[in-house]
Amino acid sequence: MTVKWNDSIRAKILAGATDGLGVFAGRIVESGNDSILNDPKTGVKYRNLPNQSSAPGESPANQSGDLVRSGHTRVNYEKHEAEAVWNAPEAAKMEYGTERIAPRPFARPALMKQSPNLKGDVNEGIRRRLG
Amino acid sequence: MIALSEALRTALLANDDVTRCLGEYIGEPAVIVRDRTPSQVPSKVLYISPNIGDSNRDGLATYQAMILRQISIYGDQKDAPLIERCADAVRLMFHRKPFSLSIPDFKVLSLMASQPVSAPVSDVNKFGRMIGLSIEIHQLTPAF
Repeated sequence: MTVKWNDSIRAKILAGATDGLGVFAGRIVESGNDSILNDPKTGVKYRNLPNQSSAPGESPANQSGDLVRSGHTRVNYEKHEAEAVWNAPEAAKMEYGTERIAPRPFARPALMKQSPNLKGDVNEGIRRRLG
Repeated sequence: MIALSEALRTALLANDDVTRCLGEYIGEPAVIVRDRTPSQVPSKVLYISPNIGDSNRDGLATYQAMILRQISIYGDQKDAPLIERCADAVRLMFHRKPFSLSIPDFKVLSLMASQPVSAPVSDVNKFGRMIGLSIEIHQLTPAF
């Protein structure tokens, strides 16, 4: 079999890789939200909040639902990028902490947990575009 | 058990470029391993986070892991240049310098420090920078 290289193949490969990155970013959002919703929390139980709060180092507790709802992906086919985004106002403060609040990371642990899937997702995206 | 927090704290306390930027906490430069935020900390303070994430890279009879940590440095807005210098000093002392950390029973295989970036603050009068550390360690004694 002979495959003649051309710009159309290149474009399909780049688009497929970007598809794969989008799938991978979706996994990160899903995994981060899962840790917020389901991981055990051992912090203080405040009377005015529905759920037990997280202790430092744990993923944040789900209180208003805003943080989980804010999780989404952005895929850019021009730059061949995909992002996992949580844009609730408290997201960065929970992930990185502040001068007053110790970090409650959920995004970076999700990235580490899902990283073994990256290669497979990109390969599958390319396979589908070329298939 | 991996005495990583203590190793990071010892290394940071030994670096004059870092400690001279910080206030004092319980008789020492304010380098604090942060499982809670203590009260009465000085305005210029450095926090070492617990593990942000880790991934196991074990062999059949060895323990090896990649661990993420975060170092955050805070001060008042007026101290911003000092905090930035401190953050640069932290990156410089760790980036690609695995021998900068001495952890009993472990060998540091690789150590990467990210460029300092803006750290979220709760108070608009505060200023913060943070550095991510990716530390790959290997246990010297058999783990299993």
